[in-house]
Parts: sequence; structure tokens; C-alpha cells
Amino acid sequence: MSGIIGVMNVGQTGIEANEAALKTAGHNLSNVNTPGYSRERVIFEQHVPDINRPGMMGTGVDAARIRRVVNHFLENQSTRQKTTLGFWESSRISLGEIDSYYFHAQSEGLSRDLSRFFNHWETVANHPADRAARATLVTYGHNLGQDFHQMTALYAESRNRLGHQIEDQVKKINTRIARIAVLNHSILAARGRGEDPNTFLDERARIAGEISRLTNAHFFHDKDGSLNLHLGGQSAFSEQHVGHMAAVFDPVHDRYRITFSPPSRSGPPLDITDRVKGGVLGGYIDVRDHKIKSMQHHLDLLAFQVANSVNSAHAKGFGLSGQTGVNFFAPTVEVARTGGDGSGGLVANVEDASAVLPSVLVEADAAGVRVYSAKDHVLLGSGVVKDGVASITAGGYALRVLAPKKGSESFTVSGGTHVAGTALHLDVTNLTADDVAAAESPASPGSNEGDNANAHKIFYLSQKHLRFPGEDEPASIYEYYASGVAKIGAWARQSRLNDKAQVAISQSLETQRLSVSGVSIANESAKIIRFEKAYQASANLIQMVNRLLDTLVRLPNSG
Amino acid sequence: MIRVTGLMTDRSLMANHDRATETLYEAEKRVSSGLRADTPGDAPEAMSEVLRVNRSLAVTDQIIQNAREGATRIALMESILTQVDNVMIRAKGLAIRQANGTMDSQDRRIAAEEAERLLEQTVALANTRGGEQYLFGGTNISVPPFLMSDSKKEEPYVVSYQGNHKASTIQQGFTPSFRQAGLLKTTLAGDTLLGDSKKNPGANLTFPAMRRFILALKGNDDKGIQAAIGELDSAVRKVAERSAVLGTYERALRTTISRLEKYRTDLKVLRSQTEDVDIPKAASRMALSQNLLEVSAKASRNILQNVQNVLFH
Repeated sequence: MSGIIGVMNVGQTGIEANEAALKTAGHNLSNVNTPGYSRERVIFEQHVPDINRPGMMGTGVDAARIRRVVNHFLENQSTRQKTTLGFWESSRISLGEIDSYYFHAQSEGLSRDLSRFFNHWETVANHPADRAARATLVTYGHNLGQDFHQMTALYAESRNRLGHQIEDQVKKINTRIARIAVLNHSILAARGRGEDPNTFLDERARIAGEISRLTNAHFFHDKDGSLNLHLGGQSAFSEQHVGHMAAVFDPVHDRYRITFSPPSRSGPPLDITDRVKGGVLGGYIDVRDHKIKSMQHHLDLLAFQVANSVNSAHAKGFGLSGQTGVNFFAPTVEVARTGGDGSGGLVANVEDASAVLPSVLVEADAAGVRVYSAKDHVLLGSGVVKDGVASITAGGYALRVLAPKKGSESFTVSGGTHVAGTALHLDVTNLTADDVAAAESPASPGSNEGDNANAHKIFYLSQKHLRFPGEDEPASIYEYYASGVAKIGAWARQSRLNDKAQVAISQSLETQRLSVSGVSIANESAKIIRFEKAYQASANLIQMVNRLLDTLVRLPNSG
Repeated sequence: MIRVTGLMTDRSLMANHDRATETLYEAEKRVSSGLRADTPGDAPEAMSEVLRVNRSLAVTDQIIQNAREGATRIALMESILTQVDNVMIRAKGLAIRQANGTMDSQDRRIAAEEAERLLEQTVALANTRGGEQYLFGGTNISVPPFLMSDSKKEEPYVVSYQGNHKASTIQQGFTPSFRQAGLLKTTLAGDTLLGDSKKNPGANLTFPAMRRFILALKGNDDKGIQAAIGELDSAVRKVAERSAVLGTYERALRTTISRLEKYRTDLKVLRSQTEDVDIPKAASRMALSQNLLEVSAKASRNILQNVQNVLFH
């Protein structure tokens, strides 16, 4: 529109555009502390000019768009970074908990009780007829068993708690996937109407960051502007449907399986556990199903060696009343009688854990003992009975045989390779003080009660190097325990340091993102002053046109 | 030029403040506990090293304890044998006096009474207990090793041995082996030293020799009394020799104890170097952290105040 009214319209466009700019600046200021908020900027554009005499004349301004100020590279980097951050954060928290179970481990807990138990064999050796010393030793054995039970319970409790955490994280991931799918629709719809869906974009970016922190997801931007998300190599949603992640406990392997049902696929869910490597979920799975499991196995092996090495030596010794072939700890090996009248007996323990057979067959009579492999009946070893007993090592087992009075007896020995659960079941057998086998040769009341050779041998077990399955080098019980403590320490330390490093990297990226997308109160305040002035000037223009129109209206009467 | 925004400033200040607080917390924890590591995660290698050192210390402590027990027991045996030696010297003196031709049967009957008391004294000494166990009965530690016959029912002055020929041991080294000097016998088979007048009445050892001497005195047997001088002398020498050997064992044990105590001190030093915090360093680090935190808090306050002043005044 030309003429004076056109000038008024120019003023009106200025008022409208600057009002939009003032509103946007105010919106920015009010969101100065909103996490994930990206500042907005009004894009001013000139109106299409009038083509008239004397030429093209401007017709005012338009607030064409409200743009969200972001750097996509920084935004993507920040999102990706969150996967590593989430992994180390959850690892640090859960490993920190395990680490705390070993508070002052150098002098307390299992280390102290292992030391006290083995050292007390020397107290018994120094006072072999002292029943109080023997009873104390039995108590120390119970205490040691309780330490193992307690550690096992703590590990189990941690794994249980982490299991709940895994389920919670999966629920969170599902909620967020569904929300992103909804936001994609809303964004596309808004764009279809020619609007800038800045609030939706901010929310989608924030939720993408949250998913990335929760698990290792891959994000792709489609050409139409929607955000695609892949979990375990599978698309998380289609146009119509949303996939579903689940955490399923596998009791056979005692671990969690993460499954995913893709949106456009029928049939059973896919197992993506091995592809969940990052994020909070990946961290919890790693700690629960790998690290704590490995520590539990380490503890079981330690209990296994303590029980078997002490039992092997103890069964060869003699108690104060002449008892022999008695286990100190509940055995980890099973012995089943398969023939004979029951007048003899057999006590079996694992001698060499790294080479023990799953099962062996034992035949014994008054003259000797023969041991065969259960698998192919190959003779593994034989021994001579002396004073009614025989000690023989074969197939990785230490066997103490009480020969039958008449005829022969046979046994099956099995379970030498069963390590799992040993720590939970380690306890002293139903021993009396007299049963403690400190002597190397038969003793009875008043005779040979001072024989303490076997007690010395058992004390020495704590320093003796034993073969632990899966270890390259033999180690003493103590060294093996120390290696476990060092392992958990190294993991906890690594997770602390990596988490610290990731936090620093994330903070740096966030600082850079805020430098671009964050709201500066000073900037926005300056803009408000600028837009206020422009608004006032536009209003003045309208006022001026109003005065001119008044003049024009009065013209016919002035003559 | 970097664009500085409000949230960026806040977050940056908070992060720096958190870091300073964490550093101070770590420094305070180290100073208050005095340890470099409370949990393995604080210092995994140090924790594992201290565990090994602690076990070595516990074993060393136990071996020192064993050696002390052994030394006490051997010192007691040595002392008993010294007393037996003294009693035997008195018996020998009595034999020399009674060998004099001027002594009549009355004198010798009185001397026999005295010799009987000396024999009883020797049996009592040989049956001395070290703690709860007898020392001269081999591994038969709960029954008196020597039993004197009841003269009303049995042959008089017969001392029989009830022990065996094994030995209790103490572990004074790191292995339970005699070859590696890890074990030391702390009981003796008493009959090999003092004799068994029932099984071997003719031996030139304390109890058979004393029995023959008493019988010679009672029988006013000049020849027997004369022979007793040499036999008792031989028995005395055996006891004295054994006592001297025990003396060397005891001294060796004392040397072992002081050597192990030195080793224990070295281990403690090693543990302290690995485990303990260097307090002056830790305290100065704590003071530095406190200052840094104060400065950080002050700087944060100033920065926020400045921003506020610029914007709103």
C-alpha cells in the first residue's frame, strides 16, 4: 500500500517485528537456567518493496523465523560423549561399593582371619595337649568360614541390587525411545505447518543425550529432520511402531540378557546383550555379570584351596584320641560308597586343583588301594595299607583310606572340579578339640600327645605355593587373596580416574555448547534495549503519520 | 572470542569449586586416617603389597613367638639338668666319703638314706613340667616320664621311663623342616640321658648308677661304693654335656629371635613406607587445598557479584 497509509503500515511492521524480538529475548532470559535450552534468535527480513515512482520503496520488516542457535557438531559430540560418561559413572558407583567391602583390607576382615587361623596352628603345635588352644583353633576356623559367607553375601547383595538397576535403566530407555518417536512426529508436523519446533528440538536433543548416557545407541538424522535411533544394530522405532527393550534374568548362566523387539519384526526378541557395551546400562552389566562374578569365582577358588589343602593335610594327621581321616572343613569333594560292608572308609580332597579329574574310582582292601579314572578305568595310582590306613595321591585327589577289616570296598570320588559355591559353604565340620589332627603319628591319651608335626605342616600351608586353576604361576593362599584385592582395587581406581576424565571432557563440551547455545543475560539485556528503541521509533512513526493525517483532514476547512 | 553465558559461568564455577572440595576431602582423609589407602581403589598396588608384608609380619611374629617358647622351654631343661648335675655331684661326693675304709655299716646305712633323698630329688627334677607338658618324656607329654618303684611292692630304687623316643618341636624358621633348620626339638627322650634302671640296670646313666650306689651303701659293699664314684662321675659328665648342648641351642634361639626381630622391624619400615602417609607432606597439601578452596569460593563470589553489578546497577 502506497501513500501515507503505507508509511503507517511500515511503522506497524516495525512494532510487530520488534515485539516478537522482545518476546524472544524475554523467553531466552526466562530460560537462562533451563538445562538443555538453546537460545533463540528472531530472523528479521525486509518486506517486498513497492515498485512505483520514484522507484522501489521499502514496505517495512517481517519477523520471518525464530531460529534455535546450535552447533550440530558440538551437540552430536556431547550426545556421543555421554555413553562413555554413563559407563564410567555407573562403574565407579558400583565398583566403589565393592571396593568399600575391602575397607582396611590390609589388616582386617578375611586377611586378618586367614592369618589368625593359620598362625593358630602353631599355637596348637606349641601346646599340643592344650584343649583350649585346640578349641580356639576350631573357633577361628568358624570365623574364617563366616568371613567367606559374609563376602559372598555382600557380592550377592550387590549383584541383586545391580540387577534392579539394570531393569530400571531398561525401563527408562523404553520410556525415552517412545518419547523421541512422539517428538519426531510433532517436529515433522510443525515443520509441515511452516513453524520452527524449537522447543521440541531442544527436548529431543536432551532426551537423545539421556538415552546416550543410558546405553550405547546410534543416532542418525533423516533428511526430513526426524531422528533415528539404533539399539544393538536394530532400528528403535518405525513410523508407526516403537521397539521394546527388556532385561531378562538367565538363571542357567546367572546373568542378565538384554533383549530387543524391533518395531517391525515378529518373532522372539533379539538378544543384544553382547552389543550393550556402554552407558549406565553397559556399566552395570559389566560390573554385575563380569567383574563381581569374577571376584566371586576368585573368592570361591580361595575357599576351595583353603578347604582342600587344610583337609588333605588334616586327614593324614591324628587327633588326641587317635582319630585319623577326619576333615577339618566341610569337603568340596563328594565320596560315594559303591561296594563293601562299610567297615572301611575314605576321605578325599583335591590335592592339585589345576589337574584334578572330574571323578575317580577307588578300590581298597586290607593290603592296598588302587585308584582308576572313572572315564576309561585306567589305573592312576596305588598304595600300600600300613596300620590300617593308606594315603595316596592320584587323579589330582589326596585320598586317605581306612582299609576295610575284611574283603574289599569301592568308592566313587567326584566333584573335584566344582568350585562354584565353595565360599558360601565353607565351614568347620563337626569337630571336637580332640579331633584336631596336630600329630603325624597315632596318639592316644597319655601317649604321643606331644606330636605336633602335622600342625607345623598345616601352618606352612599358608606360605606354600599352590596351583590355582586359571593362574599361570603357583601362588600362596595369601598371595592369591592379595591378587584379588589388587584386582578389585585396580578396577575401582580405573573407574574413578576414567569417570573423572569423562566428567572433565563432558564439562568442556558442555561449556563449548553453552558458549554457542547458552543464554547470556548481558546480551539479551542489550538486545531488549535495542528492540525497545526500535519498537518506540516505530510507534513514533505511526504517531507522526497520525499527525500528518490530522493536517490533511483539516486542509479543506483551512481556506 | 568466546561467548560467556550465565549458565556457563555458574557451571564452571561450581565444577571448580567441587574439584577444590574433593581435593580438600582427599587430603583431610589421608591426614585423619594416616594411611595412603583406606580401600584397595585408593592405591591398589600399595594395598596388595601391604597385604603381603602383613602376612610376612604375621608369620614372623608367630615364629618369634615360637622361638621364645622354645627358648624358655630349653632354658628350663638346661636349668633342670644343671640342678640334676648338682645333685649328682653331691651324690658323687657322698660316694667318695663313703668309700673311705673308716666308714662302718651304720654310717653307710645313714648315707644310703641321704642317697635315696638325692634319687627322689632327681626323679622330681626330671618330672618337672614346662607349662602343661613334661619335658623329658619325648612326645608323651601328659604323663610323668619317670616313675620310681614302690619299695614295699617292687624292687626298690628302680626308676622306669614312661616316655617315648620322639620329640615335640617348635618351628623357629620359615619351613617345617629339620634340614632347613626350621624345627628344633623341645622335648627329650629322658631315658637316653638319665637312664631307665628297669630296662637297662647296668647303664652308666644317672638312675641306674644311683640305684647301684644306694644298694652298695645298704649292703656295705666297699667295691660297689668304689665303682659308684666312677659311674656317678660318668653320669654327671653326660648330664653336664647335654646341659651345655641345650645352652648352645638356647643361645642360638636367642640369636634367631634377635635376627627375626630385626627382620620384623625392617618389614614394619617397609610397610610404613608403603602404607603410611607422609604426614608433613599430607598436612601441607591439606593446608594448600584449604587455601585453594577459600580462594575458589572467594573468586566465585566476586565473579557472580561483578556480573550482578554490571547488569543491575
